[in-house]
Amino acid sequence: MEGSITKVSFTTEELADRWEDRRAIENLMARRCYYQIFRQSMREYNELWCKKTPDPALGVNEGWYKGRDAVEGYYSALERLTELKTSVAMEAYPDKLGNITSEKARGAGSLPVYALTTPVIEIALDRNTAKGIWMVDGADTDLSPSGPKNEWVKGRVGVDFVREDGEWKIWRLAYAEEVRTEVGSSWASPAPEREPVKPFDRLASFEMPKPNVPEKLFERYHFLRPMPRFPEVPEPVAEGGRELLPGEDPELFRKIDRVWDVQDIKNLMGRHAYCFSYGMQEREMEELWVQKPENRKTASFAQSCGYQCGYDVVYENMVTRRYRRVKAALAAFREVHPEIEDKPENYGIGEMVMHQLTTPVIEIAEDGLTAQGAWYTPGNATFSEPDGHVEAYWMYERYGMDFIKEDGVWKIWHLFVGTDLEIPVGTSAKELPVDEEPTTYWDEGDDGMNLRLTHTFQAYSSRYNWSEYPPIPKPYRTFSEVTSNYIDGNPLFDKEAEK
Amino acid sequence: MSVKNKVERAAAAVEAENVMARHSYYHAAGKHREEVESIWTKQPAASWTLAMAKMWTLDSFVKSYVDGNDAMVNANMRALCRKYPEVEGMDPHPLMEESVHMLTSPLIEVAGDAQSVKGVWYTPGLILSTLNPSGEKEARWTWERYAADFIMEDGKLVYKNLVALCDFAGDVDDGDWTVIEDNAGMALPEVTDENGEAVVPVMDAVGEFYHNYAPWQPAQLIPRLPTAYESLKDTFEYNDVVEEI
Repeated sequence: MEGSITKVSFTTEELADRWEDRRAIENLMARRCYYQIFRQSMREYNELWCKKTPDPALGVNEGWYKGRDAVEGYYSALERLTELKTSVAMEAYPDKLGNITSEKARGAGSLPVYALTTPVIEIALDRNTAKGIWMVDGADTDLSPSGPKNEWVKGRVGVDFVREDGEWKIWRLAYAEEVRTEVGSSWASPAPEREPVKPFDRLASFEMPKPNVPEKLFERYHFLRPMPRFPEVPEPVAEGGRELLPGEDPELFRKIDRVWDVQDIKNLMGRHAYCFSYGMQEREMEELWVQKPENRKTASFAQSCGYQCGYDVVYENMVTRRYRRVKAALAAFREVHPEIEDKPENYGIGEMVMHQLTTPVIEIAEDGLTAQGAWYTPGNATFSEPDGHVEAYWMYERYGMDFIKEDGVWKIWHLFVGTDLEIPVGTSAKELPVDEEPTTYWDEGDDGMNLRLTHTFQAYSSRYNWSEYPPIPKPYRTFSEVTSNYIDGNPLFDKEAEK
Repeated sequence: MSVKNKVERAAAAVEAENVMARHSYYHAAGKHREEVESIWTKQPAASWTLAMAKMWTLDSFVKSYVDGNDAMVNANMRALCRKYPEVEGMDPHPLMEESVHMLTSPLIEVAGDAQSVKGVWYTPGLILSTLNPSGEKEARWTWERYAADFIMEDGKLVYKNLVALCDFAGDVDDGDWTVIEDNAGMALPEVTDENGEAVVPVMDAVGEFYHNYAPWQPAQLIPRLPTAYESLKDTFEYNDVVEEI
């Protein structure tokens, strides 16, 4: 975050206005999601996209629709496609749709849900532009040439926003789709394409306009793909730390300061999720985690299999050992695929990790020094081997987080991840044993690359369904009052045995 | 708009997101009584609307969401104790299941008077249970639309109305909701008491107020998306299935 950060002191009103900008942008993107579900493509374009700012652009994996005509052309094609699908549905299901107008039948069979998670949003100092990134947890159910079809869709969307006539609008939007795979199959071994059937085969002749600036903007996951770093995560525009300015109402300042504490923590957690997805663990540890010696001593990262206590241990696992592991993995890939270059950008080849953040509860301590948060993360993790073998998992996990403020900036202090469900994509949950050992993630023994725990025990279990740990934060005065997400707060930790 | 008003509206929106998520976690823990006591209005005019049932008053909501849930929890516990005697004496609520309705895509509008908040969320949810009377691990996706009204009561933001509408549900990871028999969506549970008698849940209305996904189902412009408003008395409420205009 070199060089671009400005130190600014905002007034209480400016802080409130900037927060309103953030809310308006999150609402704008949510509207986009619901208009997609409602099959209102032109409404999405007409209401949400900029109309006066030059050079709007819509990016998809295969390239850019650049310029107003190209973007509008994309949306009007979507509108025509919805009309075609409606007509196909009316032909296919005359007993259900035969007695209603095509207007009433509009959107029949189409339910595209591209739910937005994991926001990081930054408003420019002049409040005329803004940037944001989200992950997409999607399920696209639709009519296809082979009939009704449902697909899992996972991706990310990066957006530049611009203010036009006082309202926030989409200026440039890039959607990077990671996977699109039929429900019940896995992107590790996709289901074969099904044969077209009548009358749905009419859909095969419809072609969306191609991007007018074709380029390989983003590659979907495949086993030889390097870890992606797209779209870029927006950088903070102003240094943390807000202060009561002379003449301002201290109560109002305190209230808006707490509001921004929550927003800062949401951004912080979003950055954590993207660092993890993009293989940027070194940056995560150095920029997002505690740095003060007294806090580093008690920093921790815990998973169901145990705890890593102390910043140095977390760093060693997250950065040093991971670095050795991905470097060794790349060497193994290069033995089979010598065309792959030996360069850091290729570390993490064949990995795809998305831990999406949803359902936040964030409480700032009354003393303003610490905060607690809970999230639920619907994730997926994919790993490949040089021979092309791919393993893909659904990961459903709970996050219990403690944060601490260092020089006015929120930092990750304790990160607890409790895994509720880890299951190969395309596998029935009924096939899993009721009693599972917690995953250790790496092999036993110390080869300098595997996970090093300071405390190995089953730190989390969903055996009894809902677990009371980690805690769901409640309003609190100071950190000593709450159940910590550090090891000493975990009821499964046997302090006596430890002695 | 005064600075005070702007700040209060910002704080209310942040609180609405917390209250909404608290519901998800209380529900996941099966602790509906605690939920109603801590984050719901104390006024009689409260509502809960599902695709197949409506509760129009706080009283009927409590009878259904709290008492009905307790009946299910107790029935599950009796069956679970027979299969896994180790659970005897444990709190039966978390043992019911871990039903997590994850919250995404928040669209939140705070009233100009900062006395209420309207919100819409999409929830790609997961209902998971490891210990089951069946002896098998069970996991089921349930993707739903949420809409809610929150009101300020004694300085605290609480629920007034909640709408939850299921688009599709399917087993992890072999469900196919394009096959209608597999897309059961949400259904009224069948519960029996300790004598084996059916416990009939209290609903003010039972019917089909929203449709699960079907290949012939037209787009449902539901729920109506909130826009800027001054006061809850001047606009619609989510005490019914309210269609987008």
